[in-house]
Amino acid sequence: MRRIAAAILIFVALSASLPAIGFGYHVFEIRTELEFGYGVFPSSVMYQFNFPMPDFIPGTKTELAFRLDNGLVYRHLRQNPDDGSFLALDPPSYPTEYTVLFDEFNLFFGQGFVDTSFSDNDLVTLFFSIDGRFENAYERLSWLSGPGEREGVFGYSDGSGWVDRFPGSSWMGAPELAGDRMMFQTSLTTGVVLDYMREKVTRRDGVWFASYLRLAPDFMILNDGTGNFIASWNELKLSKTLFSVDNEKDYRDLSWVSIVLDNHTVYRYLFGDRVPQYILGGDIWGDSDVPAYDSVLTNRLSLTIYGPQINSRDTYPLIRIFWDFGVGFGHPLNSIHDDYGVETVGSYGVRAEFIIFDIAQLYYEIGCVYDPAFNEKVYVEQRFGFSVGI
Amino acid sequence: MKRKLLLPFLLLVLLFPAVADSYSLSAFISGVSNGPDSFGYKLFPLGTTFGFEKFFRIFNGLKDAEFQVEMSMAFNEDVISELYDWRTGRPKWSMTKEEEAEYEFLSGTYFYPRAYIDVYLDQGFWTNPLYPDGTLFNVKIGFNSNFSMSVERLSLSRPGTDSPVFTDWDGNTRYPYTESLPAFPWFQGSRNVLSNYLYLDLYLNLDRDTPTDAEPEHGFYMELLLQYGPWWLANNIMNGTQSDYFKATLYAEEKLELFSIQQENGWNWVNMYFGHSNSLQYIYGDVVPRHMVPEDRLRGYLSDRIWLHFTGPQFMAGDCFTFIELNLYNTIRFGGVVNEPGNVTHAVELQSSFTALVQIRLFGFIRLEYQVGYDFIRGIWPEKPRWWQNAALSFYVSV
Repeated sequence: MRRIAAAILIFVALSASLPAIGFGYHVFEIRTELEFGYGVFPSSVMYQFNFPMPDFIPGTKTELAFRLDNGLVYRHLRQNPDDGSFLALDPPSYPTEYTVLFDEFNLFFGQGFVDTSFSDNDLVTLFFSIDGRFENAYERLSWLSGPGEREGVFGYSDGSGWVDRFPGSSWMGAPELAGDRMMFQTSLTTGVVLDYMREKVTRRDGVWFASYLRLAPDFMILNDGTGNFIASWNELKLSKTLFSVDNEKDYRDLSWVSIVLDNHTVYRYLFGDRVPQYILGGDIWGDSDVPAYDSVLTNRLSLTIYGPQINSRDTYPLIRIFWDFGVGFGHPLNSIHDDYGVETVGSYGVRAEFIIFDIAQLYYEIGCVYDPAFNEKVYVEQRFGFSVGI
Repeated sequence: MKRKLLLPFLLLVLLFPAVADSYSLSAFISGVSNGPDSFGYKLFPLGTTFGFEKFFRIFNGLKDAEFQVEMSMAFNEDVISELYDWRTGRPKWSMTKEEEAEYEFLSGTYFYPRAYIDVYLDQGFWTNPLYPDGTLFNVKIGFNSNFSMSVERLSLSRPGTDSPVFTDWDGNTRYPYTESLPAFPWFQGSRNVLSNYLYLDLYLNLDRDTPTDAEPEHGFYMELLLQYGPWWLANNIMNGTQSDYFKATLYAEEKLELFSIQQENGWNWVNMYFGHSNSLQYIYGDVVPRHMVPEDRLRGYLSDRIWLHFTGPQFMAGDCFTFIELNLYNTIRFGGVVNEPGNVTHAVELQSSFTALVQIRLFGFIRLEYQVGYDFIRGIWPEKPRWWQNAALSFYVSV
């Protein structure tokens, strides 16, 4: 609430002389969950309102925005609440999946430097944001919906009532799940983006790099003390179009077929004694994520074959072959075990997709987690779905 | 399931002509609802409606058509209505005290996550004489798909005294949720519901454009909306028939500008207009889904609204202003009771109320609202006339 007031104040200060309306709205990401509407209907969305801003440096972008991310996501309990040991070392017999309702807002300011002629983005962008995140965790939606659904993560039914699975736990292994499983954390984030990527939907060449630092100490204003950490997040994308047959008869610069090689690396370092799940990262394809060590590196190498753009830039089929690799090293987070450790995970697969006007997509994917975390099982999974989004 | 849902969507998408690259894209976000009790100290939104519009030309000589995809999700708790016998759908208000004892009513609080996807194509014809950039007459065709779940309330994941509503602690479904529930089809089986409808919306615009909503409204507007949700539109693939209905709505409004004083930069100082509208609605069909069930479950609806709207000065930005609105509503609800097999009960009720609303809008997306009202007559409810009030802060954007 106070943040919102701050947003208004800052805006008033910056725009007292600006004429009329100039708001833009931007939807970044729409997510789905299989258990909610079969993955067809949206379950969470991230979007922003752009405040009207003059460009401080001619030819480059100045951005002031209010970002909101809210909805429902599923998550897995990955560490023992009592001592923080990795559950993947000794996979439990109870389900580990739970539901999180969340809200995140950022008051975001970005300033670009050095215009690049080939894209809307500037070569260098510096940004700063004030963030707040609220979460509340519950059992998964299907809990207690049938005779086979007596086991929850936080508790289970003994036939006559709810039994706490971790009575008196310190919740060291997942600090934001302590007590009523509600968290409210505030943070400051600052970062830089270098963008030298030539992108035309089905063709990409160049380099993109982003690095940001999030400061979330527990003495931040309005912080409920469930988190206390500093995160450094770094991403590098390299892309190369290996082959492309352009549709020369068409003035819109469409392609018949193209093959693009991408590599996407993420390295994050976390420091702190209470680190919430949302910032842990380490996602690879499949359900086996990189264990939460203070250093986590993930890499995706993929080869994408794009089919013809049909009548429109935004309607085309694609096939993507990917290899995901992740490694966690250093000391475990949220844990009394402080021994140095290293663990690798890996998966590979193929995804076929048909995108319709950049609004709807139909996909099929199959993949294998060939190197799961610790003692989790190797598995193969396939998914078929339809979703609407951007 | 997915394939059936996909088909109507693909059909709509394929209506696109080949010139689709000439469209423009814009996104909008509107209406953020509140989450379940205690979520985010009631300050944080949990649920969003958002969409994308594309404009492109279908017919030469006509204005661009609009294609829109709108999506929405919301995660709230809801209360089961205790007013309808689950077997016959007969309402409590139509029973004597002795009769009430012979029927069975449900009760309880549950978690109600839901979402919808709505797609439509809107083509305008001719020119609106009061707004040359707008069209006089529009035809809109669309498809709406609604998904919802009814699951145990969220507080059950914590120590407490609540009990599950739909099942026992072994996860076995409780009676009567094991039966078919004509009055509450959405609680049958797994309680996951898919409900689709097609719609046709015809509207006539003889009114002025109001880009920031601060301008005085003036003119005439009329709309006919037909919504059709037959069982064969994939409405019987989950837990029995969840929809089989047809709903028609006719709406007309007239607005008259009383005065308007402008600032030097064209912004508004003060203005006032007078409005009057009528709405007529009727729902046919045996199974009406939860999101279409009218108040008091009566099939028909005829309303009359008279209002006076006063707008204060625009300040700082075009979309910062205040307004006050005085409304007088008279509504007649009539006809049979929806989701009552056999259509036994019929009723007519009159509702009459007065409301005063003051709203502050800031930068197009923040609304502070205070409303006070007086209910003269509450139809079938034996309640005395009463005053009520509410206040709200909401984020809202519309374009």
